[in-house]
Amino acid sequence: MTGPPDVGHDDHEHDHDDSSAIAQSLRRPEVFAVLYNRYAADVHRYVMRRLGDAAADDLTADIFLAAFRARSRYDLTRTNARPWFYGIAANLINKQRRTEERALRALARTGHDSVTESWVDHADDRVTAQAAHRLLAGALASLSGGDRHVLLLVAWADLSYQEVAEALGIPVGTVRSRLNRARRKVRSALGDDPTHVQDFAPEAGHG
Amino acid sequence: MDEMTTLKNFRPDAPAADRARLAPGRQRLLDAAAERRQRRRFWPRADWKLAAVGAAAGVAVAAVLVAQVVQVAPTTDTHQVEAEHTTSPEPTDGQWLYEKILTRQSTLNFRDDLNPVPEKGAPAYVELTQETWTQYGSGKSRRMLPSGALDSVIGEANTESPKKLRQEVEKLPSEPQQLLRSLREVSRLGGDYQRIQYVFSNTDTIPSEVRLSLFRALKTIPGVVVRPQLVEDAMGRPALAVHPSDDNPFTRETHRREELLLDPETYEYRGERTMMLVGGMIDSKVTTEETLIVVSAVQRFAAAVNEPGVRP
Repeated sequence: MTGPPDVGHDDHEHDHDDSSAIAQSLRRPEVFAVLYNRYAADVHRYVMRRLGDAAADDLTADIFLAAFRARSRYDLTRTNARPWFYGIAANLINKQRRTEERALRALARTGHDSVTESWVDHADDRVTAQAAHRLLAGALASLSGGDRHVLLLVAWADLSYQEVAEALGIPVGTVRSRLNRARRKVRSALGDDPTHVQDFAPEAGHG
Repeated sequence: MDEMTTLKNFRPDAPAADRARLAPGRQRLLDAAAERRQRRRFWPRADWKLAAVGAAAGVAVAAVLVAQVVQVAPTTDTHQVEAEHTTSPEPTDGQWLYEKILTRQSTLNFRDDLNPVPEKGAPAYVELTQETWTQYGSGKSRRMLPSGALDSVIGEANTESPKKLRQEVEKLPSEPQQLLRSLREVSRLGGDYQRIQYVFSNTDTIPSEVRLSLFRALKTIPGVVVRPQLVEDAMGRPALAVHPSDDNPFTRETHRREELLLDPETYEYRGERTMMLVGGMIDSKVTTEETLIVVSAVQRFAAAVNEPGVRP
């Protein structure tokens, strides 16, 4: 795409048209910082919630650098780039999968969550996790990486099924089946009836 | 409590990062952007690749001004085509169109946010020259590397050849709305404004009546501004500055304006420049105290040659 603003274009102007900023950044690389302003805080919090405080800064920077380097391959018909950043986050979190699972298993076993403790100022503030969270952590640790991404992108990043599909590059049907499987496992671990999985709000209007 | 609620209540107090904490990551991104900008100096813009054969024989080097906006003495705004320009003889399919672009880029430091700061002790601008050869019939393109060697094929695949572009542009109807519709068939890039900008910057020797039609059509595009006063182009000549209205998301967010410069009489392409506008605020900081020219470039075309790497 050449030239700056899309004057005379048929599409409606949109203040948060990410694809427009990405297109501009091909000629003016520093414009990509606009997307950092929009999404870095959300992505940072998501990474922190999964891997802890120590990993969040570097990993968030890595995610945006990876996106910046891949920006010429971005599908410009997608005006909202938020799922794209979470998809890159998923790829980079994958590389720390063992660390994440180790922390979850430790929580299940001991009741201490090293991830939560990473943002607590004093060791004295340590709290023993609720029983439900210990069971939950054990279940999360047992999920496949792909199922865990789908579950946590829906529950923590508030992505719709369609957005999860875009983020992970998988069909929406696969998102549904992975989510169902993950929810059944978690439900079972929590001692509830695994066959009873209620619809979850994000599918409405998106799925 | 269902499992999704339990999940949402798990580690819910993960704190949000404040600006200070996010700043180093942002700086890494801007460093990478600055590095990319440096590297791009030696890569011609893809949309400037398809040069048509020039009317002027020999290599015309363009100079570029990097300074404050210069308001040249008011002139009449008649925008009439007065000079006679004929289409130069068409090259053969196997010939290569030589193109030389001179760009002067202000040595503003973009690493501190999006707010440019002049580099201390640096010259006012850096100058770069790009030379490319594009085969008339095929659209294959080669470039001269800084080492003096000729690079392999550059640019995106499947770009149309200069021959095809010229043929399509010559057929454009004169009525503005019909022209814009026809142009959408020629290129699907961007919007109407971008398409006309593309044609102006890529076909140097189109018949003067087609150029006039293009300019008339340009003025009918909603939001397009033709500045009433002439500015100086890169070579110090008076030029018409055309740009999309500043009220658009890109300019609102970045306080940049991209101008297309045209000869005020013939509407020949006189280059482009990027302005950093005064009065903008990004992250609560004033972007610049005065409107600055960030990048300014002019391309001139020369005659076709038989081999890539050969200068006319």
